Amino acid sequence: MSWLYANMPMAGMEIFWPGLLILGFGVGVIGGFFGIGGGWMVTPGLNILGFPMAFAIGTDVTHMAGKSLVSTFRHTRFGNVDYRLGTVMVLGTVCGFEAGAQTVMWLERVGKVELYVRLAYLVLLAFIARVIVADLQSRRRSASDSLRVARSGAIVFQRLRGMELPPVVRFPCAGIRCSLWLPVGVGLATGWLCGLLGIGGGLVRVPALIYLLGCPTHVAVGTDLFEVAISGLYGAATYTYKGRTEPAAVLIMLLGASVGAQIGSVATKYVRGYRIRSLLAVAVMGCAFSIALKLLATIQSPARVALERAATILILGLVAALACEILRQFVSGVRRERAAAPKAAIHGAR
Amino acid sequence: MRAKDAVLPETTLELASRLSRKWRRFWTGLYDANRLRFAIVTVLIVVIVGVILGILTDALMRRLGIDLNSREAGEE
Repeated sequence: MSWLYANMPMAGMEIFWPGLLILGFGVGVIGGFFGIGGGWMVTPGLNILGFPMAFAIGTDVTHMAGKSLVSTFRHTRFGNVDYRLGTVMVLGTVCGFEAGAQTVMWLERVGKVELYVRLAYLVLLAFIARVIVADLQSRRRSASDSLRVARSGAIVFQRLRGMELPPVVRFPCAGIRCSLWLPVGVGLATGWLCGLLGIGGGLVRVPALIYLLGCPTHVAVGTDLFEVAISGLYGAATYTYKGRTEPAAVLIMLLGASVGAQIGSVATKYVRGYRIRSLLAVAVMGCAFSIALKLLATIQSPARVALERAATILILGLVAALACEILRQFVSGVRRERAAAPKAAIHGAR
Repeated sequence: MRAKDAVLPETTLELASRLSRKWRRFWTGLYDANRLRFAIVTVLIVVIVGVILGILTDALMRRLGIDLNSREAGEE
């Protein structure tokens, strides 16, 4: 079965390439469907497949750069990107990203990168699971309760926005006026997180743009994608320059991701999100469990092989299962649409 | 016939390993020669491949008859 393992020239190891294809395709479907990049799944996934952590981060960031450009162009066409705000934020994002990448390189030098990045991922995944569960609960909660919670958060953000530290800038597309340091600060903080964990950062950046800066949601999403594309390109360049990117793995994953992302984004036409969102919560918790297994494997040396194998099966199984469920709904949706098309044509002719 | 069958996989394997060796030598050689050039080439390849694959899948979806512009089915 040696043909199932491809040589990775930069990392200098043999990797199970169908795993890369499944990961790329699955994350493409999930990312395209939920509108989140899915970097939180790719870095741990690559690490669990056998890549050293710094390589996993660099490869994830580079694969993200190839993927996000197409989405950014699509949002640009709809006028959802505030380029003035995006350019100001890029200053902070790029500096933050480099600081994150330097932190990874330093942790690698002291031999602690695997442990600390995995622990940081556990915290991040707990946060994502909390956000999804809160979202699901808010559906059941009464409208007045949700409003009260939203108001208490908004007051804190309004106070921050009210501190107009000069220079104060106006962003016409987003229709906001605030201190220049606010978007730069948001960029710096999210950029550092992206550089450290190899994620796009949309999960933190979009809420920050909406609540902290007061951006309309569609502009926040478009501007975030612009940031992801720029930070992805910068991240790809800096991690590749540092020799921590595996081009072979990036190309295999892109192959799966390009098809998957298209299917995922089209599937939003046919699928009602809430049932799938509970599945996403399960996937996030499963991903965290898989990282915990990998952490345990480094401590428990006698059961190491079994624990590592369990972690690999769990993460690939979860990504594949969630992607298959979205794919199934997508196929039945396409069938419905195709069946409805001739009827619509007949009605149109009448 | 059997001898012919036995030769074919061996030749294929040899070809695959030769290609793999060339591929490995190309990337490691590029990295050793100039890191900046390696970074630029990698980023350019990734971006170009990403855009080409995006356009190809877009075209494939349209060919399959999937409407990428309207959300009518979703609204129903």
